[in-house]
Amino acid sequence: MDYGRFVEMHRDRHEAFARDLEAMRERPHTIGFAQLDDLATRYRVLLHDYAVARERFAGTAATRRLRRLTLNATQVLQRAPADHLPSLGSLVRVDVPRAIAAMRSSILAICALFTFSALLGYALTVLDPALGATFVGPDSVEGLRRGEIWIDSVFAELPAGLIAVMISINNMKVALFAWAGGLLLGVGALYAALINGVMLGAVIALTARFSMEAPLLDFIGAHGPLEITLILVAAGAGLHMGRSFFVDDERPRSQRLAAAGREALLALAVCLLGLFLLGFIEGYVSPSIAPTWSKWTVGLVLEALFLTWVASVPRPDRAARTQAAGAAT
Amino acid sequence: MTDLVEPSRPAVGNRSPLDASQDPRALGGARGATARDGGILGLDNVQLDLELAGIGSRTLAIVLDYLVLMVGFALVLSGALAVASIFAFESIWPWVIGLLAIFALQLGYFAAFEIATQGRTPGKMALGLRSVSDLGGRPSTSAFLVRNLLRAIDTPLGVLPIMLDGRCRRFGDMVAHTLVVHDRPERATVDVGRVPTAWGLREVTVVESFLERADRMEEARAAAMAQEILDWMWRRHPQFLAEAGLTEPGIERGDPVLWLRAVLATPAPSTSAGSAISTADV
Repeated sequence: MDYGRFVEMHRDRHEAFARDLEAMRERPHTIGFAQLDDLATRYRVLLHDYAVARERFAGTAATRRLRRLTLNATQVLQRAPADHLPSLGSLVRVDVPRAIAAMRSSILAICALFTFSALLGYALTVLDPALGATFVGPDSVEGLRRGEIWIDSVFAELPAGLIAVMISINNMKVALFAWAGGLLLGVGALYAALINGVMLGAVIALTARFSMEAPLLDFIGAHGPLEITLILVAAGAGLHMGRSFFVDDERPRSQRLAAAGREALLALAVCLLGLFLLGFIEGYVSPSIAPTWSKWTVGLVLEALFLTWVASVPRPDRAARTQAAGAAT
Repeated sequence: MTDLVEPSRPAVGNRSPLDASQDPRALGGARGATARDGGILGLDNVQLDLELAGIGSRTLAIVLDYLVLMVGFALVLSGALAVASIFAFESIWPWVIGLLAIFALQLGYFAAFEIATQGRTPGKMALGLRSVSDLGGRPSTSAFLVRNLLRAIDTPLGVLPIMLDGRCRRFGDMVAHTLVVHDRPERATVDVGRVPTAWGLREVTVVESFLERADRMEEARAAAMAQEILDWMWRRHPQFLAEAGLTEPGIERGDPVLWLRAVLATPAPSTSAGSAISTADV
């Protein structure tokens, strides 16, 4: 086929397609399924025209015009699969528990590392208190000597609301970096678990050295258990992404990574929301004069609720089970 | 168009005609077949030629976006200051809301813009870039969220994967299956529909390129070049020009660019002797 004929035969059709595509881009919600179906059929014809043009008339204006039109049409018409947001009910009952269940081994690994590093931090600080001092600073150590814990001075200087927001933001940043750092083959997530564990162990050991563990435990009771859990879940989600580079299953690595990314995103969203709310508990409830047992009750109830929720993974429905059984046979 | 394969109709049902059922990956257009450059396989394994954004344009876009963010931070702080002054600096809530707004901007600026504008932030708009899925289409909302939340590591480290990856992807792009491409507005093209038989693609593209640029060129210069092409055609293809209605050299009056367009840009009748780049020329 000669170039002139090619241009003559297709120009009007391509221009009409470009007009319809533009109309769809400008008013996507007015397009019915029949029109979309028609546009999709014409899109496939366009693709074939482009395949011919790029093969036979490379570099010509018609080919360049077709290339641009093809790319525009692809952008408008080609939607990523499953591009729909699940309902809130589905998110709460199904999606989040399933996502966290899928990364259970990564979260457990992070928890194990955190526990180990907390014990390590405790032991090292008992042996050498300078380690604990590096985390809290020399002024705080001086305060501990005088029987004052640094938390009191922080709350004396700033209003509780401001502290609550600053704590929320800081915790969310920690969770975000632990999550994103997990993509670096898990290194960032492991580092977050390690450093937070060592820090917690060292601080507890340091306060115990000055017999100030009671005020510390009083302060962390209401928010501490869930706060640590959420940060560990975020780090576990990051590790889950990092592990998908290595885990060997039937899917290509890129697909494993994308699936892990979607699951990790759900876990992160839950953690960020939880940490945001916990910041206010830390700002208002934790420094209050409420008895220690009541703070710990709040903290443990929150922790139990969270763990119960994420552990309640719904069983696959009957249709899915039947399909799976059919596939197996 | 006998040489075109009749495309099969897309799936019809409750889903979009171009949804996952038409995913080339599902049809066997394996990702492994994806080229290292912007050549990706579209529907029916037709190769699309995406123009991937390199590290330069992406860096410039991110710098612009951070400038916009700085302006946003400044506005939020000014707003907080103004509101706090109304309350004689006795209320902490302007500062609380200001802090939260700054964090929300940090966290959500990129994702919010990309979701709202189908892959473009102000920086990308200025540079003519767009985030697309690795099939050339619109990424899912979760893909936009993932690629932008992973900026936490991509901001300090993302340059390295962009430089090393054949498709210029940072970590966030790899996880979200996205690409950043140039998305330039369509430029007016001039297709020549009638060309001398002896012309190959080189002659066609040169003349098309000239005709596309002629309107933007200095008038006298464009006219001189068009006249030069016409003179050359008179020497080499007098028969072709005669069939187009020009009987002798120099008979054309007025703007030679218009003459050249008239001679070449009109689609040739199918019976014309002056057709054709034959397929053998390609």
